Amino acid sequence: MTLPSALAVAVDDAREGADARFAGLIERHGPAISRLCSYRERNEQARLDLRQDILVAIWEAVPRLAEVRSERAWVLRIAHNVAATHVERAARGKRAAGIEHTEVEIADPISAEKRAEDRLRLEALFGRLRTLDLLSQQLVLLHLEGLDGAEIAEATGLTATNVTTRLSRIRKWLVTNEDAPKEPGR
Amino acid sequence: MTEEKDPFAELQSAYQAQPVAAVPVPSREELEARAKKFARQVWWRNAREWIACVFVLFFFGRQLIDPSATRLGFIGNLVIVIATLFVGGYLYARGRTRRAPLAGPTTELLEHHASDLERQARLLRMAPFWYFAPLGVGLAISIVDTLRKFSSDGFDSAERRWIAMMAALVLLVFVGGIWMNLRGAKKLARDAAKVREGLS
Repeated sequence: MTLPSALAVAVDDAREGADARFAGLIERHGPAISRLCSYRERNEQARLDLRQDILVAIWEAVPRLAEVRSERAWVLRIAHNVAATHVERAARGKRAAGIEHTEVEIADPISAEKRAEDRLRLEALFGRLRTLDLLSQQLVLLHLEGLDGAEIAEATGLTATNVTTRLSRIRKWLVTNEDAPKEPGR
Repeated sequence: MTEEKDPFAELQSAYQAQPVAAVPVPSREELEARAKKFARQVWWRNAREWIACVFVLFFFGRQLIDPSATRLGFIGNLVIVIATLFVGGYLYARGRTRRAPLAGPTTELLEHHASDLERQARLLRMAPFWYFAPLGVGLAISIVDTLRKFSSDGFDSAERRWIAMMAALVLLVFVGGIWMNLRGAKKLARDAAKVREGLS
């Protein structure tokens, strides 16, 4: 095999490897990405657009995946960053991104009554959450997704202590019926 | 003793129980096409400013080689051409759209957003100096030259009124432009402060 053709084969292998890793990531973390898109964008088309942008950003970053500690934190970090950029862009373009009421649906195995109750609670939570700054919203969403403090710290760039402090304040604020404190994230 | 329920744990389960459709994995071609589309959008955003510059350069540059132009007219056009090159260079150096660091930690991304907003606010705030002043000087010289050309026989009152109206209009465009830029700068600075507030 000549050098150029060996190189071409190596490049093809690397591409196939990257594509397979990307497909695996989407299979494992697709639902979390979809939940984030549903929270951020209420419009179906905008939601699909956001999801595509997230997938492209993850795909472009796959070659750097080897350097990360938690795959889930890494995928969700990119997803949240793309979503935050969408929110910023929407704010510039005056288009509402997930600002208004979002219809929340709950999966089937639970009873209809519980489903309705959960839906209302999530809608109320999202309503309050959207009054916070982007980073605080991300902290809560990652926490809801089940990430631990270290993973949230990895995704956000905050220290683990900072994550714990902020989360505990926001959690306290979210479960009480008080008005939004001036700086709930601090 | 009954154990108190963690309200957040319930929310967590409800959140994770939301039904979501499976995410189809796009093909490499689809991904490449979308990535290229995004790169093109960034390119066009930057190119818009350049297209305006090229248009001005073409119009006033052409007048530079006009043999019938007076010395003052030539100077006016030259100043406009130099000012346009300066504005283009300034925009290239300080106003280019930069790609957001999407794979980095969110704090880094928000820092990028905040500094981008501050950079744009600074550009708008300084527009009277780097945009309006250089172009305004060239335009003023060109207007004086035009007036001198037509004033050899003196102006009648209707012409004087027309000139005054035109001068007021040019002044209004400049003052209005500066006012709008300053207003935009204030809003951007407020937005940047809001992003930074979330970071601190």
